[in-house]
Amino acid sequence: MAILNQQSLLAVKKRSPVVAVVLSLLFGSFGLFYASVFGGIVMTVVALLVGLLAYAFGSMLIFKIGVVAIGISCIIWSVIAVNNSNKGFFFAQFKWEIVFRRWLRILSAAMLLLAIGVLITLIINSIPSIKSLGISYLWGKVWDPVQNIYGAYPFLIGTLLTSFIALFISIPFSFAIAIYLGEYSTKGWLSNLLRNTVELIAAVPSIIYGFWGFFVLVPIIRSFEIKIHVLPYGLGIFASSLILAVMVIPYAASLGATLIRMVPAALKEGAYGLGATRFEVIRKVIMPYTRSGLFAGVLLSLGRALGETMAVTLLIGNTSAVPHSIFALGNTMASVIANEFTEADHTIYLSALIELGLILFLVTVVINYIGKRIITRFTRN
Amino acid sequence: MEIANQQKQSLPHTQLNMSGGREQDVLLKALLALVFGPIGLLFGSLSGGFIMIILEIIIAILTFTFGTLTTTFYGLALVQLVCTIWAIYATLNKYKTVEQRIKYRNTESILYKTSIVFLSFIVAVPLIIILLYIIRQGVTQVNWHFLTNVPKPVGETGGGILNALVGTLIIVAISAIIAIPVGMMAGIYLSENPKTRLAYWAGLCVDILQGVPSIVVGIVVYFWVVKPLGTFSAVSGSIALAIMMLPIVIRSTEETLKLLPPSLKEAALSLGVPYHRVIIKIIVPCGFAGILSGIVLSIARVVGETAPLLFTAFGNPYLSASIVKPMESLPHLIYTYATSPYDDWHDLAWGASFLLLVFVLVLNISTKLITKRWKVQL
Repeated sequence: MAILNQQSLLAVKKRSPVVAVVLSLLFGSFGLFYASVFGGIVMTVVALLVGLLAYAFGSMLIFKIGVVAIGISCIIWSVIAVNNSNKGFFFAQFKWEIVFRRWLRILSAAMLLLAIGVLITLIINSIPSIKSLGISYLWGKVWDPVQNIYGAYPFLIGTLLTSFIALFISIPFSFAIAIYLGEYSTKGWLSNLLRNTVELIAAVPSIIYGFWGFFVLVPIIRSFEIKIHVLPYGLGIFASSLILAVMVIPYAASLGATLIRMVPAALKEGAYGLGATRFEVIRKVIMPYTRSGLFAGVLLSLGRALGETMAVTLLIGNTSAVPHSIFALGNTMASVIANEFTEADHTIYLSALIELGLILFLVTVVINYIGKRIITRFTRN
Repeated sequence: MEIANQQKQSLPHTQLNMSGGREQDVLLKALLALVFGPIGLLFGSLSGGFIMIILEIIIAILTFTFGTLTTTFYGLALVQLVCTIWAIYATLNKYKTVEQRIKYRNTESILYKTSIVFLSFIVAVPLIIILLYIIRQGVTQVNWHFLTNVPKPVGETGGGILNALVGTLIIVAISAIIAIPVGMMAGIYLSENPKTRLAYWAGLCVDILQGVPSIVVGIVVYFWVVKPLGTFSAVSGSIALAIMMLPIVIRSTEETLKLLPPSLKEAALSLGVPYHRVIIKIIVPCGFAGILSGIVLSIARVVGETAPLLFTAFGNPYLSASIVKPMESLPHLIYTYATSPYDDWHDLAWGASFLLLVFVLVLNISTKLITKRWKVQL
């Protein structure tokens, strides 16, 4: 860096910051060419893009905001560029290498901004509902937008019921797959077949699960409900749990298989050496060793189940009442947002829905974070 | 030999000692299993109890659905009987000789393996049923007319899904254009500087973004793009999908590049190649297959996403190529037509599901082929 400074000090004539500011104030991005050629090119392109966008949407607002923003950034850029070029940095002798490194850093920082931006957007837009409904929103049992009464309790219960029933059904299967792929058969065409099947289950879009469930599973459940003498809706918590159960199997299964494969061979060989059967090795060695990892897999499955929208929206029946049995109709947080977001016609209604989204976001983030932490700790050991 | 003989001699002795409570024990466990069924069996044999609980549930559901109440009763009685026999057998086993117990343990192990294999392969059944059903319903719909026409109004037969097909392609293409460069650059940073504080926080945020429910992404993009512009638009849908693609692209890039040996980079740098050229000309081409399969996988993941498009791209019954207007997409079309009361529209939705499924399958298989062709690990 030191050598670079000296070279450019020798090579570049000093430029006046005052001239730079005046030029970019008057001519915008073209005036910036005096201070920095690269800056001039970049800002001209940006200005063209903004103009195009404003033209495409026919919006004067975008144009005005764009012009002001570009003007301000041109002035700031010109000052920095002149300053740097007088010191001999960066803009005087243009270095792709440094720009590249900087872009790498900027785009990683953008991920930070993206995640924080999601959180802040949700919080800001749910402020009206937090203010007017308070904390009692969470256990209000009535959701009636016409009367302006909002309570999230039915949706919280609906989400928890569907997710946990789904999890309960899926766990035996996902653990069995994990044990089979991790211990019994790690290679070979049969385990490849199973692995591809599991990946395929994860790949099928949720709308297709929902659509199929709506036309095939629901009539089956309806005839089942007639047999056991409950109201034969067909739709409801039970139907959505069944479909969800199929959908979340892959998450716990593939993670579990990976972790079970990581059990040290010495431990297993020790147990075999003592005369343990395969069942006993799995029960007494592999299971205790991978317990935390399997739990993390279940958490990831739970995170998926909580946030799943389309399949549940099609199958749960969309009734904003507290469900009284597992065959009742209901609504989950995600499904009520999907159904009512575009119809929400006043501020509190909309922001109550966004608050649901905020809760959903926070819960899934916490669950995923705990799961990921367990996995990292497990893989590090 | 002598030791073995001693053991054999000592065994009847121990057995004699234990046999004091033997009859009582067997009777107790048998009674428990007879009265409480599989739950009572848990006391006699833990694994047996679990197996029988699962079996009882399956039998109950099957007889409920396909039989009468009487068959259910008989089925459950049978389960109860089997439980009792199992309990007696398991309890007697506790008092058996070494050879017999080894045999028992081996049988237990084999039974366990059988149930594991059964449980893991039964998962394929719902998948196969769903796939076959979609294919059977959808494949008859797909023809040239279906692919080159927009949907007809209610009451007119015919019509196709051209608008949704074009819309999905445009929306996904734009989201790929946004997500691929950004994701690759961020992934390169994460793999090149794993120890920095920025990398730690960015990695954490990528994890968070990966777990965000898709509907929440839809809400957020609604406030970022749709509301300022004042209209639903295809480009907002693309941005929502790009946010969902980013974590997958970033993670696959990072994981692939981390596997490359550092000597590659060091050799290039020592020849005086600038850093950005090392990355673009050497690191990225070496990890190309892994990155590419990550990209294809992320496209496969978002092509079927409906929830983020509900409030962003919204849907449009007409053919539209303008990215600042609402645009139809395949998953959204399936959603709207599946919930409609018209059979014609259901048929369109089956056809669209079939197409979507084919897209997803092709993308997934190409990921497989890419990873296999270049032997990369994801």
